[in-house]
Amino acid sequence: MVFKNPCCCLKKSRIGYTGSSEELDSLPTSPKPPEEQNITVLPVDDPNFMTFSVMEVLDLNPNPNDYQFLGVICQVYDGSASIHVARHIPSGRYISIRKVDLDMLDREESGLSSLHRELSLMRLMQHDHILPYYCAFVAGRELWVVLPLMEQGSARDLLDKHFPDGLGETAIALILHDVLLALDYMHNMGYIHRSVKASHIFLSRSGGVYLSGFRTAITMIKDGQKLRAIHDFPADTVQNLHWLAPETLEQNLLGYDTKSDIYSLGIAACELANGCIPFSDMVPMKMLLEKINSTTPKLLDSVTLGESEGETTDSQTRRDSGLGESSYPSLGNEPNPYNRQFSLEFHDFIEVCLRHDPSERPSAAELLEHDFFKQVSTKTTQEVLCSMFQSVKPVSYTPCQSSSKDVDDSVKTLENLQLTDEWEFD
Amino acid sequence: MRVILCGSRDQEPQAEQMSTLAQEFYHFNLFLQVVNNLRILDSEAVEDVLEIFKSLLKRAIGPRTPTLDYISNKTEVLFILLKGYENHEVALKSGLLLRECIRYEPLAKIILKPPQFYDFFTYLEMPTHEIVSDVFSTFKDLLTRHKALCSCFLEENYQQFFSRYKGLMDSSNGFIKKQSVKLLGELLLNRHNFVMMTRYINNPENLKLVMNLLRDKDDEVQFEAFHVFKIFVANPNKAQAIFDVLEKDKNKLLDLINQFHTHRTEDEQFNDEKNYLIAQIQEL
Repeated sequence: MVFKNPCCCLKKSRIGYTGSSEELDSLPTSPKPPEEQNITVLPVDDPNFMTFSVMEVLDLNPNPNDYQFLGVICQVYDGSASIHVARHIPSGRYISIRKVDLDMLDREESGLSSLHRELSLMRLMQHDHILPYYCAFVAGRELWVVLPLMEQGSARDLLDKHFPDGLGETAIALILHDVLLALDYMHNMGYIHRSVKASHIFLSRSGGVYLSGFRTAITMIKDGQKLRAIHDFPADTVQNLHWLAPETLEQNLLGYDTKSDIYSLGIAACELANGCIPFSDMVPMKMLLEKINSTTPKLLDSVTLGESEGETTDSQTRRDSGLGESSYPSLGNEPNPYNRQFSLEFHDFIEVCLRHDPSERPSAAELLEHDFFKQVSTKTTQEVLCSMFQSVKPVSYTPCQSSSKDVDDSVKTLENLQLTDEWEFD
Repeated sequence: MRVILCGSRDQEPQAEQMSTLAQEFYHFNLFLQVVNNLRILDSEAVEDVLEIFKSLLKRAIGPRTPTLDYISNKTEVLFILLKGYENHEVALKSGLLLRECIRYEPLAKIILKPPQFYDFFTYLEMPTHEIVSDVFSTFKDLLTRHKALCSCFLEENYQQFFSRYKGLMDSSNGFIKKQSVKLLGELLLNRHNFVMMTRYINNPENLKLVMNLLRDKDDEVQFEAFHVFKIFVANPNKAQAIFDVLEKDKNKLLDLINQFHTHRTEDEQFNDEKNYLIAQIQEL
């Protein structure tokens, strides 16, 4: 029997995947090829391609005329915002701009306030691994947030575009270590992130790892008191359900605390290693039940698959050593889960993160000491990731159709046309 | 300090330590020290400061509120925070602390006074969005939180306030424009502001302004303007001047309202109001 999709062999619910193999075989195993037309890859090899260093404290001018749009990378937040590649004209450097449709946000309850909270939080949080923004201003009916350009997009983009079967263990350790540093910082400040997932981890080509996605973050400090637990159910969480911890979903009297982020991190780690998101094959209700029943997702490799199938595999001796050709392990993962084996430390890491009882999960600070990160040396993290990224393409974008001034001008003239008579006041 | 005031994870704050610390705060005028040095405080420290402020402000010994009394006498603390909006490095930090202070009426009263209050209008013209939106939320808090205080302020400073406010409703910043029209609607409909409201809706100039906003390019602005316009029309004791303006454009108004935002079919209240306005204008 040949398994096309690593998920299909994991029928046993304790691994967190259910469903028949027929169903799962029909799932696309790799992302749909993007429409070829009109896609441009970031010209990272062009000598003229320059970005700002993320940590430069920049004071870019909040003036729409300073920015030239090159194209759209993607739509986010249900189409109420989009990410663009743009050039900062005075310096000629590349940046990205998030355009937010304010009207659309305002129609939703708390839409605007959560956006403002997100922006001020991004300003307040000054950390090497938290994505900052350079400036934000209103242009017409949109809010433009000028951000550093993340050439590799999010970790999710990396999985979707290049590594549907997951990333290699070394890369995951490096990425998660940086994310944990950011989480530890946030937790110390009394914030819970509440949506730690691969699509909120951004990667720059130079090997920088940045946590973002602060719209759902919440403070545990109320009226000057640090609460032991909070009960607020995160709003618009539909997209985050798979990552949320059982205690967050349960909404019981015990509430939840920063440990719920650790659970999400565990899910995100599985996501990075397996390529697919645990529980993603289930309807939300079923997922909730599985989580409450202490079903913990696992890494897909020869060890877990062997256990779950109740048979031994002969491939246990083969370790995922990358291709062995470059001096660094490769960024990707061995596609066939039967032929790969993650280290015992990684398995343990997942196990401790996903413990059902939050009090048994380690804190972010404790996790940083976990054996899994022995392979990480903070000094070289960026260098190693950087060299790994050199082998993959950066994000691509759909170039602007025509950004000519003529069009803009004619639109303006049309907008200013008075089709109705003026009021007769006098 | 924060641990003393707010307690830590496993420890509730100790009343005795709290009062000693508060005394020290007053004695050494630490409030002033802190607000003067916001710039060098990192985000984590600002969070701590905010918590310390919160618990000190909340402090009450029987009917006395020592921190509020103290700051009321040292008003420069508030003015420095307000001025903080001028410097983008400390703007958001100042905003946080200032909003915390104005939750308390005695402190809000200090800021809600000319001329310092008019600084808000200047700050609302700044380009940087996160600052402007922060300024606006402080501005809105000031005008809506303490009802009696605000209505006094608006009555006493009616002329100057609205001549500045008009600028906001004509702002090139779409966000400010829309939010200020929306806030105007809220202010007018606030029962405490009845005197101010009567005055406002009997001035034909204001009506003209709102009628122009009904035809704004931005339909969200139009929609907010509608909610202000309806107050003019629904007023049972319209001034003659208002009556004249409405009557002159009667037919155009009817056309406009008939076709006004027909896509909002699911909003029943809005449609009822529309029908009511049509009936009212027809009767003119």
